[in-house]
Amino acid sequence: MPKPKNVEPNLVTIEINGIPLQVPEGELLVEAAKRLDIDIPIFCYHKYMKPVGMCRMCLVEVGTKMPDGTVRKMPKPQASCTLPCTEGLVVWTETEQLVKDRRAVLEFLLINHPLDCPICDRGGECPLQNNTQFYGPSTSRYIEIKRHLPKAFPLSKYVALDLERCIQCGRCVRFTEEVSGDAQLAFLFRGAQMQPHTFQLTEFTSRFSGNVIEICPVGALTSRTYRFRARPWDIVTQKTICSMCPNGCNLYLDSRSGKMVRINARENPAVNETWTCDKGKFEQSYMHAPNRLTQPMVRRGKEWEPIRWSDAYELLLSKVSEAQGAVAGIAGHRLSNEALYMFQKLLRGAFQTNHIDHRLTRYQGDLQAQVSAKLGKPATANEYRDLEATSLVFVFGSDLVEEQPMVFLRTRKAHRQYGVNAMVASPVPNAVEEFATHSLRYQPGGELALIRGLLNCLLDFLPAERLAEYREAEWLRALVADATPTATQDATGVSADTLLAAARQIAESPSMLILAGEKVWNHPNASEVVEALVTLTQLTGNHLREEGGLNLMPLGTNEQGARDMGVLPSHLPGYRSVADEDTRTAFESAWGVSLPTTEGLSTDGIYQACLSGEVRLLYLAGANPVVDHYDPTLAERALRATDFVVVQDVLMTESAQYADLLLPACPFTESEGTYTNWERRVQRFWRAHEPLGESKPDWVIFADLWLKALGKVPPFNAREVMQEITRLVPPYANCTYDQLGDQGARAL
Amino acid sequence: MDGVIRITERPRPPRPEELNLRFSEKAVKELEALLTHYPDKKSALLPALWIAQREYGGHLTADAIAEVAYRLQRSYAEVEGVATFYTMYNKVPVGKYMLEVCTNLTCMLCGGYRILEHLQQRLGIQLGETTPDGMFTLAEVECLNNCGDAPVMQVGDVYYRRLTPEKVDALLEELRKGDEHTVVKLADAEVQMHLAEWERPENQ
Repeated sequence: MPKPKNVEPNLVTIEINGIPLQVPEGELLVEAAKRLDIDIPIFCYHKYMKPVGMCRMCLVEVGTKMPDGTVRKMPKPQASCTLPCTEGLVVWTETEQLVKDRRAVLEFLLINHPLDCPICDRGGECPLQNNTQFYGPSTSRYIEIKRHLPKAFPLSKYVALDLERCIQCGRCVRFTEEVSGDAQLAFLFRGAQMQPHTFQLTEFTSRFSGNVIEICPVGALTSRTYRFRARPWDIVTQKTICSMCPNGCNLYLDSRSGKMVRINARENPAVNETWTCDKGKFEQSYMHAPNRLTQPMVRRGKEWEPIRWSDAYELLLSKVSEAQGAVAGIAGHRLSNEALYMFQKLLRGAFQTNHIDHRLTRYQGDLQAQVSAKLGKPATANEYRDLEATSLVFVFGSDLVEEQPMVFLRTRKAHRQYGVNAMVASPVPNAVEEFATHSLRYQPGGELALIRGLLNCLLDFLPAERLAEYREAEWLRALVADATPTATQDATGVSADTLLAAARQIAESPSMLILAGEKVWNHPNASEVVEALVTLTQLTGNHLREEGGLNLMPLGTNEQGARDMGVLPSHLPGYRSVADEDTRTAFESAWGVSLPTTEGLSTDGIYQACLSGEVRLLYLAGANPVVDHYDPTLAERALRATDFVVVQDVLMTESAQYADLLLPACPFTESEGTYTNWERRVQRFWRAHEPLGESKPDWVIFADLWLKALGKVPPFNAREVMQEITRLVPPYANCTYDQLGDQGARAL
Repeated sequence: MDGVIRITERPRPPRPEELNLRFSEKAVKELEALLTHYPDKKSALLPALWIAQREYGGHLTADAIAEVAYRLQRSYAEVEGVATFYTMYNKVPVGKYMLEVCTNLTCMLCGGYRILEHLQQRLGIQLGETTPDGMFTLAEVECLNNCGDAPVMQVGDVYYRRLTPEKVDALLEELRKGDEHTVVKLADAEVQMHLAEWERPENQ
């Protein structure tokens, strides 16, 4: 059963150590105790996995309150991780019996544990160490020989397994079964020989393998990239947000001597729970790449010549005035909201141009506006927990595990834990197929025909009441009359039987959540595909349901933010048209400048204008179109043709090779700001390192230029930028740094 | 990232198309019949492993485990975990006769270890080993539930009771004459036990 949203739980009264407490009925006792800050030691229990009661560490003494007020005590201690709270439960967590029990459990666990803590990565942050410290025996009575097993066995590129340290809690095995769902780890053998391992010692290929390192309560699973590189007590931890994709996972960035040594998940129940993907955990090290830009440089022939920031600004501004408005800017998707806002403010206010964009996909019309106009909802209608509340997740044209790893993980979890069905339409093999009920493998380009085929079948399968509510059924019937199952089979390669079965499932699902991905964005007729998806949503009535709806998933990290911040040729921040007089006036008076009135060019238009000489100065801020644009040769030709190209980036990118002026920017780890994820959740990240060399945060560069160009006072810190945004961009009105806190907030 | 220790990389798990499927037509039919007994495919894991033990000649190779996983749509590791949990699934090649000598309390008191030592001497192998001619594998087992007739030894699905070294010698002579693979036979018996008369492929 899908997990219903917003249900008020029944409250029951329990008593822990004499303190009465109201908790939701059925909450596990180990969780309830946390409400009183009572520490119950645990090993196998994990908040986001099903309890198993394997380690017996969390034993407590319990009783029940009888009607006459007396307490009937249970004869034996109970595992608090498997005990749901009921009315009248009485619990003791600190009795003499329990002290003995815990000491005994730990003594058993330590019999075979090698106690090589001095050279163990876990040392200092190890639950086994901590529990032994507080509850364990101070000396060992065991003098026999310990079990010996392979040490530092490389399970994969990222994970090493030390079987001697394993205490068989089963967290890693349960993670692969319950959460990532690939069940790549299992307990082999039994009794004293029991060990978690992969099949025949093959590689642990899960894309979420890094999580097992974090959840291991001992040092049995360790990170190969972090191994022996730091001790927990000389690490500086900073809260941050992942910059690798639009999922917005909350992370901790651990640094030693100003260098990132590892990334751990930061708990956010609304987003990533406590999980990360391997890309975010292990592949995010570009801030320490050798090709970091560290000082402003200007091109002299074939050589780069370092210059001072002030000279760089002066050169840039003189080139801007030479270009006389023939200026365009493209921003990258890793810029923070603050930087994106300042970017468009600078280009519009100071450089007087609307040629601003962030889109690098084939279709550069406004798909989101199309969706919002039709459905009256944002183009990403849902949030993470809707994945668990809906009854069908339809992944359309998206390689979900690559594009949105955390959405993939949460979808798979929803399927495993709550029985949410999944369905996938993709032209190539897709990881969702593994648990999808129906897989529609269409021929490339068959997106439109496929949805039309589905619509055709749905008109027959949906109940009459639904069609009556839809109202336009007759119009639709005429429109898709030729898209019969057989015709669809010819057009898409999806067999008529599969199509019918899929349509039947859609018709029978009480709600459906559509996740549309890259294949839609890069479709030559993206607008029509989106139109068809909108019709599919309307026909099934899912635009009216909270847990259903259509989601056009952004592809870049802060693509959603770029849109909201008005990095678009046609719209000011908050998605208001540049042609609208009132809006313009509001911004003009806030910024103290006059703004250009006509719509600018989109990315492709900018490139064409570069080629024809209409744009003479191109400002690339964190964008690398030579690699990321759907047509790299067009981007490359445009960069070659432009008189003056400014590249502001973290790294010496491929596009930077074509620059005339290079401005070194800081990565997200060296600046402060916010990212907006796919569900429009705005989340803060904090500065973890000092800027490398002379590099500056992106928004600071724009603010400096704003000051130099107009002589107006710029914001002094990222917090002030966000304050300005909250004033001027209505959806972000609730997004001041104080309101965002650690866990972020969804834009209105 | 720098500082990465380079250790030999692991082989990756096989893809479905790389599997070497060896189940006979009969085995596939039996498995299909078994699957109708259970609410989901996972539940058929134990009998499916018995089929595999029979089909792969008395022990479960990596291929056998992978094939069972493939046919039941479970992960390889999960099936291997189950196969390694139970001792009656053999993970290494075994002889035609698996000599399982009980050394639990009653058998021990009545000379179970004497029988075991005698067998080791006669066959020239240690516990868990197989004779070079592939005839006998020697194993020590826990109680066979025949304490009244201790010491006891199980070969295939037959119990030999009240053993003495002389009886053992005579038994070995007799077994050498036979050509039945008792381990495979036992696996088959386990499979047939799960199937109703009309479900057996020969009756269809």
